Amino acid sequence: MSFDVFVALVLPVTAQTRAPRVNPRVEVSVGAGFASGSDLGDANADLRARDGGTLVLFTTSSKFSSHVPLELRLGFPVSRSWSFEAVGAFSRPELQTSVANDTEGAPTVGVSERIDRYVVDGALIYAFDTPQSRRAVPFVGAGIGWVRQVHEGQSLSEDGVSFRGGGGVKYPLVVRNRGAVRRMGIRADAALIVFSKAVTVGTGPASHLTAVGSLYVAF
Amino acid sequence: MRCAALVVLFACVVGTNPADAYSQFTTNGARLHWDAPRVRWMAVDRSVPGVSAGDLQAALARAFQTWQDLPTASIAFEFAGFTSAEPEDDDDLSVLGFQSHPELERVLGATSFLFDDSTGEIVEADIFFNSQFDWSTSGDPNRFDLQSVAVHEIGHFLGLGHSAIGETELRPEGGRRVLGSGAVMFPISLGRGSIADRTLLPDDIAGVSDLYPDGGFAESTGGVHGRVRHGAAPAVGAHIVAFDLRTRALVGGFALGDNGEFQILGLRPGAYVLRVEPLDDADIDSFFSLDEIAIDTNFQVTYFQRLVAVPAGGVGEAVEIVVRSK
Repeated sequence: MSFDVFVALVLPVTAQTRAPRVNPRVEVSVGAGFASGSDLGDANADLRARDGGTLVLFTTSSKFSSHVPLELRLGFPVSRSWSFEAVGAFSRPELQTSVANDTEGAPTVGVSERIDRYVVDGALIYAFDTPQSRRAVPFVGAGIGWVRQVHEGQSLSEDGVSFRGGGGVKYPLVVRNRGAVRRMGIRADAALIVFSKAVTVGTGPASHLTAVGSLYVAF
Repeated sequence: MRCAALVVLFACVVGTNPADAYSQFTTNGARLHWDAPRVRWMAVDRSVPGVSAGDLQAALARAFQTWQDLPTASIAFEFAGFTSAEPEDDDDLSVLGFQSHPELERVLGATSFLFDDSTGEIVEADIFFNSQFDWSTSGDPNRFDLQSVAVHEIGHFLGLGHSAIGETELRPEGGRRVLGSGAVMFPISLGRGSIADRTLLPDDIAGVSDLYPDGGFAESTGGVHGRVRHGAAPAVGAHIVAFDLRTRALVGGFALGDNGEFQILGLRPGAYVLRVEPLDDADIDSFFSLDEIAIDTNFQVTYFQRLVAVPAGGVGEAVEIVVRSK
C-alpha cells in the first residue's frame, strides 16, 4: 500500500521537470514550389546508309519543362529524431522535343505534350533538433516511391520509380502543449528527384531539382 | 548493268489498304495473307555464277528464318525441296529461284501471287531473282547479296507492299540511288555489297506483325490515326512516319483515305514525333496503282506540332496535320 502511494506522489513531480508530452502523432503539410526542367537527351531518327553507316533523317532533343509541383505530406514520428513521411505530389510538366536537322531541309520545330505526373513515395527523415524545439529545425531525408505519368489525351499512362533525396528546414510558428493541434509552422524543402523506367524518354532517367514551401500542422 | 530497284510484279492488280499502316496488298478490301500455319516453298535447282543451287537454298532458308523468328508474328515456313519448275508457273507450288529477265534492267527480283480475290488468301507465291545481275551469298562487295534481296521479296511473299521510309537521289544516268533506308521493304536496294537488309527494321516488323499477330502484339502495341490536309483538300498519298522517342523506331504509313486519313499500327506505347513528307523518293507506282489514286506530292516536309501519345491496345486521339505547298 505505501509503495503505491509513493509512486503516485513521485510521478507528478517528475512530469513537471521534463517535457510534458510526447511527440505529435502525425504531421500534415501542404505546399507548392518550383521544379527545374530535366534534360532527356537526344535521339536521332537514323536510316541505314549505303556505306554501312547511318543517314540522319532528323534529330530530336527532349526535355521536361520546369513546373510547379504540389505536395501533400503525412509525417509519422518514430523516435525523437526520426520520422517517416508519406508524400503525394502532383505536377504538370510539358514534354518538349526540338526536331532539327531534317535531311530534306524542313525548319527546326518544337513539338510538345502536357504530362500529368502523380508521385507517391515514402521517405525517412532525420531532424537535427528535437521536435519540441521552438527554433528552426533542419532535417534531411531520402525516399523511394512510385510515379505515374498520364500523357495528354489521357490515353496513355506509364508507371515508374521515383527516388528522392534532400533536406530542408521547419520553423514552428505555434507550439502548444495541449489541444488537438500541437504545432503549426512553415517548412522549406529542397530535393533532387529522379524518375526512372517507363516514365523517361531518351537515354537516361529524368531528374528534377525541386524547392517547395509548405505549411504544416502537427497533431 | 546497274540496278537499283526491287519491284513487285503484278502490283497493278492489287491495291493498298488505306486503313492500315505500312503498305499491305489488298484485294476487294481483304489483305493478302497466308492462312496455312506453315508455308511450304521450293527452290529452283539452278545455279548462277557465284551461287550454286545449294547456296541459293541456304540463303533463302536464312531469309525465311529471319521473318519466322519474329516473336510478334506467327508465320512459319518449310523447305519442300528442289524443283525444276519455274517461278511464275501457276502450279500451286511456291517456287523461288534464279530466272533471266534482261528486259527488266533495274529489277533484282520480283514476287508474283496466286490468291483468292474474295478472301485475300494467298494460294501460291513465286519469287524470281534476276540472273542478269551478279549475285553473292558471302557479302562480296561487287555483287548483290542474295539473302538481303530475298528478305525483301519474302516480305512481299507474306503480303507486304513497299515501305517509303528512305531517302534517295536521282542519278545522272537515270534511276535513283539510296542515301538511306529505314526498312527492308523500301523499294530500292542499298546496292552491291550491302548485307544490311538481312536484318529487319521496326517498320518491317510492325507490318508483318500486324498481318500475322502473335505474342500479344495487338494488345501490347497501339497506333496513331488522323488525316493529312493540304489546304482544304486531303493530301492523298502523303507519307507519315512515326518516330518513337524512346526506342528511335521509325514506322510509316500512308494517307490513303478519301479525306487523307491514315492509321499507323504496331507502335510501342509512348510519345511519338510525326513527320509527313511527299512520296518523292521512289516511283509512285512502286507503292500504289496509279489509276486508282491521285497522289499529292506538292507539299513541304511537315512535322505535327504536338507529340502524340500512343496507348497499348488502341489508338490515341485523331490528329490533323496540315501541310503547305512547296
